[in-house]
Parts: sequence; C-alpha cells; structure tokens
Amino acid sequence: MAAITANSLRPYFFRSASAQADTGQTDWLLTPPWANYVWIMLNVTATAGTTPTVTPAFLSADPVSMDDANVVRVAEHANFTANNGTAAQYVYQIGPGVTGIADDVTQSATLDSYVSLNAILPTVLGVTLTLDRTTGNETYTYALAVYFRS
Amino acid sequence: MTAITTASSPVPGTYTVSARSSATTVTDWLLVPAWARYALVFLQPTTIGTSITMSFLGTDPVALDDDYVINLGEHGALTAITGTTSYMFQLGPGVTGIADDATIAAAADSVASINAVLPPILGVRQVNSGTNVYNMTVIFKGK
Repeated sequence: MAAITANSLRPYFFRSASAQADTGQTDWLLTPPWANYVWIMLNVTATAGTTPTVTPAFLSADPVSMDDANVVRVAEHANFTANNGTAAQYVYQIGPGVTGIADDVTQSATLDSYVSLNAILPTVLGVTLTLDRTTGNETYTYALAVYFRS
Repeated sequence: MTAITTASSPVPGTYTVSARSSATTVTDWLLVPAWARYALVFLQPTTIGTSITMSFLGTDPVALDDDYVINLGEHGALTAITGTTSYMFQLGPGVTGIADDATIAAAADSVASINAVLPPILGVRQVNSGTNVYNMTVIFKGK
C-alpha cells in the first residue's frame, strides 16, 4: 500500500527509458475533465538479459483515498500478453464505445498490436508497466506516450 | 529509418493537397489538433497510372521515426484503387457503432470506417504505383 501521487493535469505524458533496470512503475495521471478518450503508445525498441518481458495494465484509483491498495483495472481488463522483449509497437485506446463493439484485449508478444477498451476514463488513470527482473540482468529501452482526447 | 517531419505546426482543421502527381510512396504526417475527435479523408484520383493504396498510421510521438509506426486501429490492407472514383475514409472512436468497415472497391465510389482514437500524429500514406494524380483533403472534426 502506497500513497498515489498523480502527475499534474495535462493532456499528454511521455516516458522515455534507456536500459531501465528495475521492475517498472505505475504512472498516475489525472485525466483532464474534458477528456473522453486516451491514446497510449508503448514502443519497445530494445531489451537485454535472460527473460525480458513487458506487461502493461491500466488502473483506476479511488480518488478519495489515493492509495494504490484501492484500485480496479479499467474495464476490468484481463492480463495482457506480455511483450517478450522483441521490438514492437503497441497502441492502447480507451474510451466509451471506442470500438463500437466488444473490447479487443488481444496483443502479440512479438508483433505490433492494438488493444481497445470500451470504458469511461477514470479520474485518476494508472499506466503500469511491469518489467521482469527474474534473473536480475534484464534491461529495457522503450518510449511510452499518453495523449488524452476530447 | 527516416525522421518524421509533420506537414506544418500546428495544422489547422483542414489539410489539402491539390493535383498531386506522384509515382512513389508519399506519407503526409499531420499533427492532430487537440480538440479533434474524428478525421474525414477524401481522396479523388483524377488520373490513375496503375493504382493508389491508402493506409493510415500512428507513430511514436517520442521517437518521431518512421520505423515506429502502426496502422490506425490495426486496420488491414485496403484495396488498391485503380479508378478515378471517389473515396472517403472516416476515422474516429465508435464512428461506425459496430465493427470497422475497411472494404473499398478498386473502381467504385466507397466509404471506409475505422473505429480508433486519433493519434497525436496521423500519417496518411499513399502508395503510388505508376504515376497518379489526385486531390486529397483531411478534415478534423470535434465532438
């Protein structure tokens, strides 16, 4: 359990990592009040080590307690297939009726993929990247971009 | 690997090319206005050499490198256009209310629809085979 500190209110967020050597993080973003949709791109460009895997997740936090023990996955999404260290681009689009039909939570471990979640954006959006460090020699180079849209 | 340069900054609500003559692949990289929810792309070929194949791309806005692109909404390959007919592509979240419609005719007026949140930088790619001449307009729309 840890207190959530959200980034300042703004329409975009970038993270650029070079040979990151830890287990990842959750970026907590305040969703602008005017935003209905969010476009998120994860660009895994290089990895190293024995078992590099990148697993994203999208969280909604209780905006009152602001405690990471009190979260639920956006649209109750299931676990995504982890990227296995192969360079690939992933886009995650979240918003009400974004696909017009059902969610698409299928992504490839190795190939460019799109994921769509039909969900109203939470007040506080958590973007988690879990990085495997089983062997302790895994490193990750990637870019993460988040854009809110009206 | 080629650095991405956007068409202009900021792009207003409308982007137009008139009587473009090309026999190669052209990608127009457009900064999507922050207020935009939808995009309408109208393509009007006036002379067809062999064909034009369209695609719509999102790119990593951090790297800005055309090695890092992905088809908008993961759309499949669109049918190559071989006629001087009219085409409209509508892009946006929930634009159809149902599944994507990525079917266009090679030589008949067609509309295609892709359910996707607009990326911050939209690539409109035209793969030209033979020398084609065409007009193209991209109009961004708010809610």
